Amino acid sequence: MNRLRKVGVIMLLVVIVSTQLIAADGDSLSPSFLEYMRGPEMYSVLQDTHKILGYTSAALGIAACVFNPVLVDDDLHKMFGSAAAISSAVNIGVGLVNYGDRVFSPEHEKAATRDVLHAALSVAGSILMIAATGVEAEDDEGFSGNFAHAALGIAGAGLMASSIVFEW
Amino acid sequence: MCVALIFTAGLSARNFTVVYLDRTEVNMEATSYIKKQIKKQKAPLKVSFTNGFSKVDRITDPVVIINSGRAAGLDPRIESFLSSQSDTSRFILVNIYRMGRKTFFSTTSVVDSSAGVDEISASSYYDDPKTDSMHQQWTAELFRRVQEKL
Repeated sequence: MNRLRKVGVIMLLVVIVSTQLIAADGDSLSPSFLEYMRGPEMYSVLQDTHKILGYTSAALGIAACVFNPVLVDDDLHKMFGSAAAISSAVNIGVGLVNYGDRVFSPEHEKAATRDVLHAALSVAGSILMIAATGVEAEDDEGFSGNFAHAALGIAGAGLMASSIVFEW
Repeated sequence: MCVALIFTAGLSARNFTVVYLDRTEVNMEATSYIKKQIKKQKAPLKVSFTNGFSKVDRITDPVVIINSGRAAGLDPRIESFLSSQSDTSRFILVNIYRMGRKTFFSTTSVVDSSAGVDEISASSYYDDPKTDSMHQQWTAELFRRVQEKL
């Protein structure tokens, strides 16, 4: 459960920082920093970062599913799984900063349907990936054992990958 | 030698400002494309960006205004801002029109412009590499006009 707590804290921090960047109007952050972060200079940097982290998260998630403890060493599986959960959590923060207003703004309601679906699928995928790292197969029995860990991990990676397909 | 040339080119780069009104996808794509194209086309220019007209009165360099979110015509906020200016010679209007999957590029001189400024128009269709030549065309024209105003 320690790993779950760590990933949870990272995700919470990412969400707090990114929502502050969206909501703040010069109160908590200096306006010049906010303007720069949400301006054209950073837009393309964050756009590329979001793309790379998205593909990386999905690839790591799928790698964790493929390289499972039945086939390979448990440490390798854990490394892929944890990296997928962390990169997906960070990427949600990056996505919120760069595209948050597209998802939440009522002005873009119709045009943003695809973006909203992309965001919903990736957030759900990330949550499931993080949950999978918490429900470790070898520690638990019953529902929260092998089946739950595998189901959460596969569903998380699947949702993450499908959220990318929505944006193609 | 190479470092010295790059340093000299950096020093000789002249400033201009791009104004966008909303943080929309089209505005962000257009503004970041301008920045990328300065480097790609090796234009001796340096761009800064500002959201809205609040800082424009303090800027003395050429100002490029992005007019987007429409299929034709001018955003009323831009119209009202330009009509409040006594001298519009430092402004260039870039119309990024919503025209579906159509590529389009045109220029309008000050004399023919209803807003009384130099105008460059293109469609907001981005689909590399199909639309890249259109976007390169309007940015090249923009850089040429900015340099004329410096």
